Amino acid sequence: MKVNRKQLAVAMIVSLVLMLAGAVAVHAMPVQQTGAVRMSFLMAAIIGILYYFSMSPWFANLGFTVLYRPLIAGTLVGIVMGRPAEGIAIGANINVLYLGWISAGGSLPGDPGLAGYLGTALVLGGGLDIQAALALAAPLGLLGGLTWSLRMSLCSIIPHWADRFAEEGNIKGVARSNYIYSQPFLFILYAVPVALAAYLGSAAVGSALDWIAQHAIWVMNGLFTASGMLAALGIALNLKFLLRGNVWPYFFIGFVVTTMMGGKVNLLMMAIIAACVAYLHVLWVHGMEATPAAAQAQAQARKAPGLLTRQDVFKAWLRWLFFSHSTYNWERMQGLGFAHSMTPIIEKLYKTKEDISAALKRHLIFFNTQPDIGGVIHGIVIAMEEEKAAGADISDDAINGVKTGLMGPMAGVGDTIQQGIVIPIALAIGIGLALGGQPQATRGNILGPLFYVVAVAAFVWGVGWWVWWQGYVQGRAAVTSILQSGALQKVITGAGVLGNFVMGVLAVQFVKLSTPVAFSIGGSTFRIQAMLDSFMPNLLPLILVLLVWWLVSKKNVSPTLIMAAIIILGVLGAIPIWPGIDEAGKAIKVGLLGG
Amino acid sequence: MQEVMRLAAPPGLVVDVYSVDAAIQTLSQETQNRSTTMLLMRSPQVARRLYEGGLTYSALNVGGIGSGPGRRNIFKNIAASDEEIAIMKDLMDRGVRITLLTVPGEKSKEFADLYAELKRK
Repeated sequence: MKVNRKQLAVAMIVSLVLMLAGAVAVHAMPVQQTGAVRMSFLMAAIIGILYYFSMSPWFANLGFTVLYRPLIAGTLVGIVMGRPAEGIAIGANINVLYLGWISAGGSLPGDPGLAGYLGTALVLGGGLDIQAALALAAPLGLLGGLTWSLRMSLCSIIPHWADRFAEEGNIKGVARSNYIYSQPFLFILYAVPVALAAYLGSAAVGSALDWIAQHAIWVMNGLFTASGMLAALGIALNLKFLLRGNVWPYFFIGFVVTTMMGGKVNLLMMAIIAACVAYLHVLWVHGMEATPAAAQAQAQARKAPGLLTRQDVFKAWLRWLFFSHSTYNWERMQGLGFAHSMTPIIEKLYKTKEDISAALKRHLIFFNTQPDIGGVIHGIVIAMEEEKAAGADISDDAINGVKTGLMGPMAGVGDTIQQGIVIPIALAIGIGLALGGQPQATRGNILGPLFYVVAVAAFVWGVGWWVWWQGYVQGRAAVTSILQSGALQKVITGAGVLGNFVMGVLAVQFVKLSTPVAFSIGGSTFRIQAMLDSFMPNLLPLILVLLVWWLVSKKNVSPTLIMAAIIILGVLGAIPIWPGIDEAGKAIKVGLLGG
Repeated sequence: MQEVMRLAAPPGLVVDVYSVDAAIQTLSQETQNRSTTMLLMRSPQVARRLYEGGLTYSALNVGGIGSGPGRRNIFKNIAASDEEIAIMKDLMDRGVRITLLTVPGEKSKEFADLYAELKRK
């Protein structure tokens, strides 16, 4: 028992030391100041491999939750290409667009990882401006979604191989099917195209944009404007989940307070204020409600037959943590991952070939849930298997019933907490720390990505194991005791306050929209933007965010369509056909919209 | 399990669980202020029993149904047996518009198109 905790502690210390070493290395590295980085083949290959890692739950489920996020992707690509500080800034900017990105129920609406890895590589390799990066990286994220269907279809073949191993009672064969056989295919699908695109694309993208800059500078201006507007989409997608109930006013409080302070605020400090406000809000709304007595009465251990040790349960958790999505596919989703996680349990509990084969087949069926919170199901199933092996009369149907009955509800609750609350808030604070409140910063701070890694690892490992263990200790009562304990609702409400406030701050810092239109009548000049500012600063960005929020949450317009519309609008709005006045007071032609 | 369903639903939603017969009886009754109700069911078989029991409807969405022996994937992670495909065809012929959609916001697929594709194969 204690050995596991020790191992976990050692692993965490090693990770922290590695990250700190990374931080020191990043800031000590000699940095070229300007110009493009020449993309070597080795660099491109490493970037491709990193993208592949991000598409697997490798590294203790920190692949999809951490490596896949543009903030981290940009940091890693920056380190590989010798421009860490720039990489962090580029990644943070790209990530704003994907703040509200959620992959639920096996769908993949866009691909933040591709935008992060390839986008940062092209920007650094092509010597582009960071603001151009966003308009470039946004469409890249849409391309990535295309490979998803191919992966999900082709990986459907592998569970059938696992079926044959299960028939033979071959535990190791089932495990290998999950974590080895799909990997060469995923490697080819993910690493190779990205490595090639990064290697061949950098110079091409750079020269293409140079050509545009020379021949039609207004298109470049349009792309800059579009990148400032695209941030509204990332924030609006998040607000789709946040702007509701009685917590929506906190978005406007965050927005107005930040506007009053001129936009340059330290996001961590704002988040601390928001957390205190969230605490007060929860106290005010839920304050006097006591935890239901029923939940407390239920929260007691069942009598375990004692066939399994804590170490066995931990081994099963580790396999799920690393390989839950290794062979994710349309036919059985996480079915093979579930069977793989049960292999240490089956090995310990069952001795005859028939029993082993039956247990393997039992767990190879369709399964899909949220990997952290859904772990409670695995805990319960382990407890049921233990009782079954000890002689209790538990049918296959009873075990299947628990799995299929709970996987849907736990996915809903889990996605709300992990993808809807933990990841966006940790990302928002990480992005804020990385850029120090200035989206135009060209050099990012390593503390931002580090904060994100530590926060998410604490959730994925800490909460993940706790929930799993509760499932095992309490059995079926665990689900109701976890859901019923008033804590969950309080956390969700509090996170809603914090999330709204932080999104308000980010909206001011990242959404940029203004108009350079001006004209003079009879000697007096009218600058539209100055008039708007005297009414309320940042009015156009606020209207844009609310408009996009209304489109995505009330009108169900697809984010892809909005993304395309914003880029087109940004470029069209930059056509210089509108009256304007330059600094010297001379009448010129300007675009309708500016950043 | 009913308790889990209630606890997992977003706050403010009322969740009731009925057997098929009780559902037909309760939901067929004329009531004045019925709120918007979403009916969740486990399989196409249940959908047909409801329809034939007099609880008719004009549209039906098919969400994620797991695969298993005797079932094949017909659209993304939606699997069905030949019997279930026949049931859906039957409901379609009676005028029910059937769509396949697993996650809100994605593009849905018309069962009519899918059936034509399946037949061609």
